[in-house]
Formats: sequence, structure tokens, C-alpha cells
Amino acid sequence: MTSVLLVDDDPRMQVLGRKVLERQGYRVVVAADGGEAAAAADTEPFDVVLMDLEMPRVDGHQAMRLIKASHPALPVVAVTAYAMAGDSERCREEGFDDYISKPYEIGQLRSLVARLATRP
Amino acid sequence: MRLLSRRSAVVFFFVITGVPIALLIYSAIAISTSSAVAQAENGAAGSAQTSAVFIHQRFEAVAVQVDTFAKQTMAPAMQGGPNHYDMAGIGAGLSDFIRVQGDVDTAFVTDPQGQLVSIAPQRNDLVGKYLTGDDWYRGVRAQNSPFVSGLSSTAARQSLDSVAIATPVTSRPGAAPVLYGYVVALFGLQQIQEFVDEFQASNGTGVCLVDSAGFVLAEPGLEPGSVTSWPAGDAMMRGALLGHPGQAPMTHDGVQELAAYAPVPGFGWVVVADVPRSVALGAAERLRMTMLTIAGILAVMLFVGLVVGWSLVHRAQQSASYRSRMESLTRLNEAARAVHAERGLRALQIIASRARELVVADFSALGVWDPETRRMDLVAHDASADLSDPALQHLAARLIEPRKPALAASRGMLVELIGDGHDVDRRGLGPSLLVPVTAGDRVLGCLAVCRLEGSPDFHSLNESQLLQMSQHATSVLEKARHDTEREAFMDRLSDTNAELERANQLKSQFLARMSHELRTPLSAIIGFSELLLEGGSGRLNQDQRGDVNEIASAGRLLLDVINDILDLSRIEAGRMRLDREPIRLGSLLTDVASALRPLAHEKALELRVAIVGGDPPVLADPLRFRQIVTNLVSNALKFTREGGVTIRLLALPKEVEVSVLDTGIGIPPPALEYVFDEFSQVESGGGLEGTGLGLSIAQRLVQLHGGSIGVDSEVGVGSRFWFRLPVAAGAAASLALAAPPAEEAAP
Repeated sequence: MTSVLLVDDDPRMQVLGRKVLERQGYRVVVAADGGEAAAAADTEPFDVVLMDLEMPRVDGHQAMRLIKASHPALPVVAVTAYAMAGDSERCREEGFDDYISKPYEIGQLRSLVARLATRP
Repeated sequence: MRLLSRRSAVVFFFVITGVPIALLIYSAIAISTSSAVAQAENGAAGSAQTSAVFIHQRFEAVAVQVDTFAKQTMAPAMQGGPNHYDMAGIGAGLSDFIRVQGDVDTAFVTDPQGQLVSIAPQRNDLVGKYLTGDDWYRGVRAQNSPFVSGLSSTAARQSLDSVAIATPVTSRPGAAPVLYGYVVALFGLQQIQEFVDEFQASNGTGVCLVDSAGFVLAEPGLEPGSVTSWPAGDAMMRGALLGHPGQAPMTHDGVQELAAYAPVPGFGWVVVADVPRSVALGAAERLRMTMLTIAGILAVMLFVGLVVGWSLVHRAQQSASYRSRMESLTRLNEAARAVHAERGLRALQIIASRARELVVADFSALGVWDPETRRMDLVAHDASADLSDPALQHLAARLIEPRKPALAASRGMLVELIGDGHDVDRRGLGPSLLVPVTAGDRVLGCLAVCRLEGSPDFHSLNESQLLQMSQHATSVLEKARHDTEREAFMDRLSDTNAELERANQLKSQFLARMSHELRTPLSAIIGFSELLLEGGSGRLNQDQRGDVNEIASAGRLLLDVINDILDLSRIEAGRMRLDREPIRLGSLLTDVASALRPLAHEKALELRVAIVGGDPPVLADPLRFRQIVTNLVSNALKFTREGGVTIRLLALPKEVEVSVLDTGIGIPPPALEYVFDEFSQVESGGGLEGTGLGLSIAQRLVQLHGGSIGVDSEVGVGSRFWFRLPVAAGAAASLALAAPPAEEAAP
């Protein structure tokens, strides 16, 4: 069963993401900040990490680097309300595997996760 | 080198050459004229003398003959007195006498009482007449010896054309001579007149014989028998009658003459010889003419010399003035170079030095007016080598510092200005000159020069030279002021720029922040709406679905507004970057039409694409081109209730025109010009959705592409929004071969 680590400090987005993905049959673990996310990633295996960027304490950028340091193969997707031109490119350069801006279409999120999770 | 002034040079030349020559000519003429006059006078005197002697001798001879006749012939006939006269002898004697003496035409004998006894030629009517009233009778009785009368009138002869020569007839000389009577001969003046005429004919000298009574006996051209008197007022004549010879100029018949007076001894007559001045002075006149000719030639030579000398002096002066002008130009040039090469005080110092040299002053001072301290500050001064007294600086400061702008502006002699109650020590200072340093109406300072006491005054040329120098000082001062102002301005500008940069950054951060903060709740709104519509948490009835759809579409509209605002602000901040490439627009238009067709179908509208006259490539950013067309088409669909919308691509010679034509409500003319302004939707009466930013963004993006955009509209008929993009010149050929343009893409 595909498991997704959903990292977001906004409880509404945690609920929305969990519902969107669980209805699709994914297992969803939620982390409220970067530190929790890194700890969770070390505790159990995940197929995809959906990472908000702006979070208190450890932000998404640091968390992505922490996770990539110990799990280089684990895909990390930036999910952010920063949707200015070039944000997408910057994230990819930084090391994120993909980028999706908020608000997203729920179908869009599901197909992205499906694509990354089945990646060999 | 200082040259004589032109006038003094001419005067000098004239004096050293003209005066000696004029003196020489004058004295030569004077000497020659006086010698000729003397010669002429001598000649006249000689003529008079000769004539006098001749006349004297002539009459003396006649007198002697008369006397001899009286003694030898008449005495015997008259011996014994009147009662014993031998009348026949007397008559025969007289007849013989006039026959022998051709000059004597009449001779007669009287008794001692003057009674005529006998006369030849014989005149019986006169015999016995007493002739005691005659001149000769009074004369001979008075001197009792032969007597020659003047022009004589006698009862024995009516005409006045003779001179009587009378002699007493006495007994033989003894103890007491007895007077027997008188013998008188009348001598015709004809003889004398002939002599005078001959004399004048031979040497041009007129001789005039005047008797003691002032009657003219003979003169050239005198008619015998006419009586002419010598002018009574002639003093020279009175002197000559008293026996003194003399000479005098006189005018005779309007001719200038020289006259010589010579007394005839014994007769009381005077001979006057007169020579016309032209004759007497002929030689002197010729000499004078010669001298005058020489003088004329010399004068011409003198004049030529003067002209040549003048032109030489003039040329020398010109070259001197040229040199001095060159020197002054050199100084002005140096000052001008200093203005360009040097700055500030160094340049002002050079100007002060050059100004002093330019007007040949002993020292110069340059003051700058400080409007804050209200003082004229001495900034530069310069003194000649023999004036290197350090006290000069104080002197210069004293000259400069009391100047106020108004006073400095009234340029002129410094000494006059010093009189205005300023405490300036003028010891040792001579002529001075002050000019203001001005820029327009503002007085920036003053430039003063001064010569030492006893030096020549400055002239007006110096003032204009100094003014030129002061203009250089103006340049320096103005440049310095501009530099300062420019630096201050640049500082302010860079401060402003930094502030603007900060403000811009803050704005960008704010926009990014706002976008982020709006998007997060929108994510929840749109996301949960979609979840509800998905029906995973229970199916919604029709009414509920409708409501949730409204929530979702309102959320998406808000998202569009946010995106449009971000785009606009990016364009306005100049941060919109275009990724331009040569593209054909046909397929892009078809894509946009496909994406928007569902929206059109919702309103039962047709959406068509028409490509007319080819599809040449243009240089454009595909993403932004799509955005432009999407905005225009969305706008058209929004304002169209029935009919349809057509997207038309038209290839023009150098441009590609995209038109979006609708059959909508149209735009009233007054609104047309605001149609591209932000948030300017036309009052439509219906609840039309939209950000109100789409047309603005489209316009700006077209402009970023170097294209043009516009709209034609008719209310109730429809609108045509169009934009044109330039054809990509370089890329045209390659793309034209690669992909043949589609003629029309059906909806």
C-alpha cells in the first residue's frame, strides 16, 4: 500500500490532503513541520513526501535537504502557495522532485502522487 | 618698444626737413630780390644822374654861348646905354645869333628897365614893351649873371614851350661895370623832349625834367606846349629841388616803378628817371621763379618722404599693435586653458596672473563674494617681481574685501570707489581698475588691477581686456558651483534610487506575501468544494451541488484576480520576462479555442477560428500569447449573449493581426478609450464575472511584444478587439519551409 507523508502546518490543508488521498486508497501520515517530517521519514518508509514550504521551526527547504540526506531516492514534492513566476524552477533546482501550487485541483494532486509512487 | 605717436612722428619729420629748406629758399629769394632791387635802383639813379648832367651841360653850353654872344657881339652895339644903342648892329646880331643857334628860335634885347629894344625874328609890335613881369627878368636882375629860367612865360612869346636864358650886358670889366641891358634867348623844349624820347627808346628808362616851380619841362610822350605840373605832395621832389638826390618807388599810370631824383646843379631843376619795376626786377623775378620751382620740387619730395615715412611708421605701429594683440590673446588663451585644465583656486590664480600681465599692472587681486558670510573674500592675487612684498596680500585684501556686489558691479577706477568711506590705505597705489565677475545678473566677485603711484593711467582697452579675463573667472566659479550642485544632486538621486529600490522590494515582498496568504484559504475553499462535489462523503442533491459549485467558481475567480494582479504588478515593475521564440500562431489559436469552447457552449455560443492569408511566424512568448488571446476571447464570451465569437488570424505585409470578433452588446463610444484601463468593465446590467484586468494585461503584453492593440465597436452589433505583432524577419524563411500554414481550423 502506497504511503504518503503529508507535511503542512495548516490543519485545514492537513485534513484536505488526507481526505483527497485516502479516498484514493493511499496511506497518509501527517507531519506539522519539517522536524516532525524528517523524524517520520526516518521511522517508517514512504513512497512520496508532499512538503509545504513555509512552516514554523524547520521549513520545507531544510526538511527536504534533511530527508534527501538520508533517503536520496524518496521523491519530495513542493506543495506551496508561492506561485510566483520561477518558483517552480527554483524548487526543482533546489532538489525537489516536483512542484504543485496551491490551490490545486484535487485530481491534479492525485495524478501527481500516482505518477511518483509507481516510479521504479 | 614704444614708438612715437604718428602725429608727433610727422611733426618731427616736418620740422627737421621742411624748416631748413623753407629757410634756405626764403633767404635765397630775399637776397636775390633785394640785390636786384638795389641794382635797379642804382640803374635808375644812374639814368637820372646822367640825364641831369647831360641836361645841365646842354643848357650850360647854351648859357655860355648866350653869354659869349652878349659880351662879344652885343656889348659893343649896346655900349653907352639905351641912348647910344646901335640899333642896326643889335638887330643884325640877334638875327645872326638865331640863325647860328638852331636850338634858339627867338632872341631879344631889353634895356636895363626891361623895355624890349629889339627882337629876332623881328616883331615890331613888341618893341618898346616892358617885360618886367617875366621870370627871366626877375632871375637875372637878382643874380646879375647868366640865368636859366624854368618853363618860362614871357610877353615876348605866348606859348609855354621854351626856357629863357638871360644874361646881362655890361661894360668891359673894370672898376665899376655899367649895365647896358639884357640879352635873352628862348630855348625850345623840343630839343629836351627829343632827348628824353631817345633815352627811353634806348634803355627803357623814362626821364622827366621838372623845373623849380614844379612844371614838367619834358617827359616821354609830352606834347610840346602842354603844361603839366609834378604832383605837389612829392616829398622826394621837394628834397631834390633843394639839391638832395633820392630814390623812391612810385606808381605811374598803374605801373609799379622805381624812381630816382637827381637835381640839375645851378638851375634848380630836377631830373626824375623812372624804371618800371618789372623791368628793374626782371632778373630777380626770374631768380625767384627758379627758387620757387626748386622749392616746389623739394616740397613734392618732402611730401613723398612724408607719405613714405608715414606708411613706414604706420606699418611699424600696426606690427606693434599686432604683437600686443597677439600677446593679449596669448594671455587670454592661457587663462582659457587654465579654466579647462585646472580647477578652483589654481585656475583663479592663473587668471589673476594673466590679468596682471595683460594690462601691465603691478599687482592684481581676485575676490569672490560669499553670500552666506556677506564678504568679498580674496582668493587670488599676483604681483610683479619687484613687488614681492608680503604686505601686498594684506593690501590686496584691503582692496577686495570692502567690495559689496553692488559696488563691484559699478566697475571703474578703484581709487574712485575707495572714496566711498572704505578704510583702504592708498599709500603707494597709483591708477587702478576694477571689474565685476558676473554670471548674468549675479555678481560672483571682482577682479582688480593696480599700478604703482606715478604710473600711467589705464585706458578703456584695458577695461575690456580685464572684462574678458573676468569672464574666465566666471567660468571657473560657475563650473565649481555646477560641480558642487551636481554632486549634491547625484547624492540625492542615489538616495532616492535606494529608497525606491527598497520600496519596490517591499512591494514585491508584499505582493508575494499577499498572494501566499490568499492562496492558502483559497486552497481550502476550492479543495473542500471539490471534495463535496466528488460525493465521497455522501451524495449532494441538485440544489446543494449548485451551491457548492458557486463556492468553487467564486474561489477560482478570486484566484484569477490574484494571478492577474500579480501579472500586472510584475509588468509595471518591469519584471515580466518574455521568453520569445519564432512561432506560428494558428495552432496556438486553435488550442485557446479548444480550452474555451466549453465556456462558449455553456452559453450556447459558437467559437470559431479563421486563418486568412497565411500564418507567418512571429517572435513571441507562447505562454503570454495564449494569455493575451484567452483574455480577449474570455472578454468576448462574457459580453456576448447570442451568436458567436470568431478568432481571426490575418497576415499583413509586415505584421500578423489577430482579431476577436463578437456579436455582443458593443461598447458605447465614450467608453472606448477607457476599455483597456484596469477595472473598467462596461455597465452591462447583468452580473458579469471577471477580474476587470484581462484587457489591461492583454494590452501590456502586446506592447511588451512591440505590437499594437485596439478595438472597434458598435453598440448592439458587436466588437472587434485586435492586436498586431511584427513578423519575425530572420526566422520567417526557415519556418516557412518547415510547416505549411493551415488554412482554417474548424471548431
